[in-house]
Amino acid sequence: MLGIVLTQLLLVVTLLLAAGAALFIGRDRLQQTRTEYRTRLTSISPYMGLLGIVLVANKVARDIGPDISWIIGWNITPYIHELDGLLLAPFYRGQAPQVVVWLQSMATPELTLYFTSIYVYGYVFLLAFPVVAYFALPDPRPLRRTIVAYGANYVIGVTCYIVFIAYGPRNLLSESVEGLMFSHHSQYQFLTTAINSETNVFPSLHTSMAVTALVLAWTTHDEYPRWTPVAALLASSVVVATMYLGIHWATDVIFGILLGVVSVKIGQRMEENPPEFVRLRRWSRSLQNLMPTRAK
Amino acid sequence: MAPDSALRRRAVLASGLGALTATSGCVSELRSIAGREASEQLSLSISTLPASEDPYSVRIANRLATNLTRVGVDTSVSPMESSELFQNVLINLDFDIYVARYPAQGAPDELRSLLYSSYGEEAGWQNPFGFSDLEMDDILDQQRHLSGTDRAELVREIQREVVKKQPFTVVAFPDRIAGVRTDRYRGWPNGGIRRPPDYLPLVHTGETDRLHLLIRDPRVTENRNPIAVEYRDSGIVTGLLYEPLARTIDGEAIPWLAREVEWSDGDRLTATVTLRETPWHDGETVTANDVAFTYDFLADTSLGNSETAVPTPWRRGRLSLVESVRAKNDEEVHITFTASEIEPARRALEVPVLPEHIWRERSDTVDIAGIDIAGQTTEALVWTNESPVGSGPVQFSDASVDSYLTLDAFPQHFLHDGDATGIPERFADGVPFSRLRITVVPSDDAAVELLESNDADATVSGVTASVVPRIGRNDDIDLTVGRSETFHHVGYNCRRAPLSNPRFRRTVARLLDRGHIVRDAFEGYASPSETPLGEPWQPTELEWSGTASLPFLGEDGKLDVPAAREAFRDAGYQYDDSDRLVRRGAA
Repeated sequence: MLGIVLTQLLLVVTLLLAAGAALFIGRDRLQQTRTEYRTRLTSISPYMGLLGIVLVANKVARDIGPDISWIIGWNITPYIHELDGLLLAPFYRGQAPQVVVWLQSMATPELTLYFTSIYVYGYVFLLAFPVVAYFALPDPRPLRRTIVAYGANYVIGVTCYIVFIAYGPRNLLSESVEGLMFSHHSQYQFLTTAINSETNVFPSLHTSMAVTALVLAWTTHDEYPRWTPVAALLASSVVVATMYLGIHWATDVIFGILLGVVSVKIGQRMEENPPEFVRLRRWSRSLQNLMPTRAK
Repeated sequence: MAPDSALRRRAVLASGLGALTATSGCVSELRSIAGREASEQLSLSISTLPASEDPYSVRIANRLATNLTRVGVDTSVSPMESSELFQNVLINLDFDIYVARYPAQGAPDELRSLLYSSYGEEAGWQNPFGFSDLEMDDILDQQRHLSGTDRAELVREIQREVVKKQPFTVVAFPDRIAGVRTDRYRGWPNGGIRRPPDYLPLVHTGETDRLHLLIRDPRVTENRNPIAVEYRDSGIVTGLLYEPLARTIDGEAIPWLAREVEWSDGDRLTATVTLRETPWHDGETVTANDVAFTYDFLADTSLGNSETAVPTPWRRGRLSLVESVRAKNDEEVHITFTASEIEPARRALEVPVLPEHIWRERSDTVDIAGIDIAGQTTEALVWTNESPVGSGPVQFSDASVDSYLTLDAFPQHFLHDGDATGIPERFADGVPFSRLRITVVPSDDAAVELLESNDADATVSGVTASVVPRIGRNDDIDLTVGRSETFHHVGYNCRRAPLSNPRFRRTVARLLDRGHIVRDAFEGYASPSETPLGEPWQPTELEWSGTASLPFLGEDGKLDVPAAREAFRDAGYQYDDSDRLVRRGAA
C-alpha cells in the first residue's frame, strides 16, 4: 500500500513540477541553467552539505525521538486543548467552539478531497518547486536561503517534537473531531505513519514549511511574480488543511507560522556567506569567553 | 516649626501606640486567618489513551472531564500511548484518574488481584487503585475456598461491594468487532480471534497456507516478554508462543502442556501433572523442572536475590493460588494450592510455562551503569525478549518494530506430532498455516483498506464501531461481532485525596450516563454495566435495566448541574463564591 501511494505521489508531483516549470520559469531560464548548472551547483555545495547533515540528524531524531520524548518530554496536550478553546472566544457570546470543530462543521466530501490532496500533493509540490525555480536563477542566494530555511524548520521543529509531547485534535476530541483524511482517504495514512509519529504535532511542520515557501516566494517576487499568488493559495490551503483534517490544533498552526517566518530570516542571514567550520569554531570560542574565568 | 513638628510626632506616636493596643486582638485573629491555608480549587487529571489507540476510552474521559468541570473541578484529559499509560498507572502508580479497558478473562478471582489491599504497593494489574478494605479482603479470600452456587453467591456479594465502594467505575463491555475474509480461511470465531487457541480451529480453503492478520496495537512488534505488563493485553500473540499447563475454553478445562492433571483433595488441595513430550523452540525438551522453575520464578523473579520478592506484574493473581510446585521426575510435577477448591484453583494452571535455561539468568536486579535506579525490578520484567523461545505451535521468525511480525508453524509441537490426548477435536490438528504474518496498521480504516484490497485475511485485537458501515458495504469482507469479558472503566487513585473517599468516588460515578455513552461513544456496540463480571456472577438487582444503581445525575447525557453540585455538597465538599469545588490541605 505504501508503495502505491508513494508512486502516485512521485508521479503527481513530477507532473506538477513540469507544468510549474513551463508556466513560471520559462524556456530561457531553463536553457541558461543547462549551460551553467556546474557553477551553480558549486555555489550551493556547502549548503547542500549542511542540509545533508540536518537530514541525517533528523532521521535519527525521528527514529529514536518518540522514545526519548516519552522519557524527558512534557505532555502539553491538555494545555493546547485549553488554549485552542479560547481562540474563538472573542467572536462568540457564551461557549465558543474549538477552532478545529468549527472548521469541520463546514466539511463536505468535496472539501475533504480538496484538503487531502493539498495536504499530500500540494504540500510536496509547494516545497519542491522553489528548489527547482531558484536553481534556474543565476543568483545563488535564493536557493541558499531556501536550503537554510528548510533546514532550520526541521532542526527547530524536531527539537520541539522531542521536548513537547502532544496529540492532535483527532486523538483527543474523538467525538467532535474526525481524522477526515484517514477515515475518507485511508490509504494516505500508510504514508504519514511511515514519515511521522502522531505525537509530533507541536508546532505544525506542514504549516511552517508552507509559510516558509510563501515568504520565499515573496522575497523572489521580482523574478517570479506569477508564482507568488499560487504559493499564497497553496500555503493558505495547507494551513487550513492541517486543522480541517483534524491533525493539528490552531495553536500548532500559530507557532508553525512563526517558525516558518523565523526560518526564512535565518536563511537570509546565512545566504551571503556559506557556512564554514571556522565560524563555528569562533562561535564556540565566544561562548567559552562568556564563561566566568578564574583569576590567574 | 520645630516644636510644632515635635508635638505632632508625639501625637502620632501616642495614637500609633493606642492603635497598636487596640489592634492586638485583630492581629491574633489575623494570625488565625493567615495560618489557615487558603483553600484552592480541586484539580484532577484524567490519563487515557489517544483516540488512535482506543477512541472509546478517550470519549469516556472527555465526558467525565466535561461533567467534572461543570461541577467545579478543574479537570484535564491527558492522552498518552499505551505503554506509557500503563507504566504510569500500573508500575509508577502516578495518576489521579485513568480511563482504559481492563483485559479481563471473566474469572471472578481476577477481582481479588484487582482489589486485594496488600497488593497496593505492587506493580501490575494488582490493585493499581491502592484500594484497601479489610472486609473486601476477607470475602475475596473466601471465594477461593468455595465452589458452585456457594461461590457464585459470594462473588455476587463481592460485586455488590465493588459497586458500593467504587474503587473503580465500570462503564461498559465493548463488543468485539472484526472484519474477516473467507476466501483463504474459514471458521472465524464470533468477534474474530481473541484468545490464542482461536487460531487452531481455522480451516484453510485457499491455495496459500499463509495467514495474514492485521493488528492495531504495535506493542508486540517491540516487546515479546510474556510478563512485561505494560506491553501485554490479551496475549493474543505471546499466548501462541508460550503455553500453559491447561486452558479453560468456554468453561471447559482442557489439558495443554499437561497430558493429564490428577487432583487430590487431602489435607491441602494438590494436583499431580503429567507433561506431554514436546520441545522448546530451541530444541531442548520441556521438563518438569521448567514447570517448577516457572512457578518459583514468577512468584519472585529475583529468585531470592532481592530484599523483597519481585513477582510477575502480569496476571500475578494466578501465582497466589499456588503454595508450592515440586518436580517429581522429568515429566511429573506436584502442585500444592492455597485455594481449597478445584474451581478457583484451576486458574493457576493457566500460567505460561517458561524455559528455565533462558529465564534463570534474567533474575538480576536492574541497574543503569551500576546504579540501582529502578528499585524493585528484575531484568526479567524489563527484558524485550526479541527472539522468544517458547513451546507453542508457532515459533518466532522475524519482526520489525511498529511494522510487522512473522511466526512460523513449529512442526515438533505435540499437536503437530500427533499427541492430542484430552484436546477437543477442533484444536487437535494444530495451526492451519505454515506462516502467520501480523502487520501493524495505523488505524482501523487502514485495516479495512487492506482487507478491501485483498492484502490480508482478518483483523485481530478488534476494530472500533466507526468502521462497521465500511465493512458492511464490502461484499468480500464479513463483519463478525461478539461479546467480550473486557470492560472499560474509570480507575481512581485511592491513595490521593479526595479520591480516597468512597463518597467522592460514588458521586463521580454518578457523572457518567452509561446508556448515553454506549449509544453515542460506543455507537451502540457495547453493553452497559455497573459490575466487572457479567453472567452468572451478577446479582439480579445489578443487572443492567436502563438506569444504574448509582444513577446518573441528569437525563439523556445532560448533567443536572445544580443537582450534581448538591450531591458533592452532601458528600461533604464545599464550593467557593465562584462555584469552584475547593479543598483544604496540600495537594
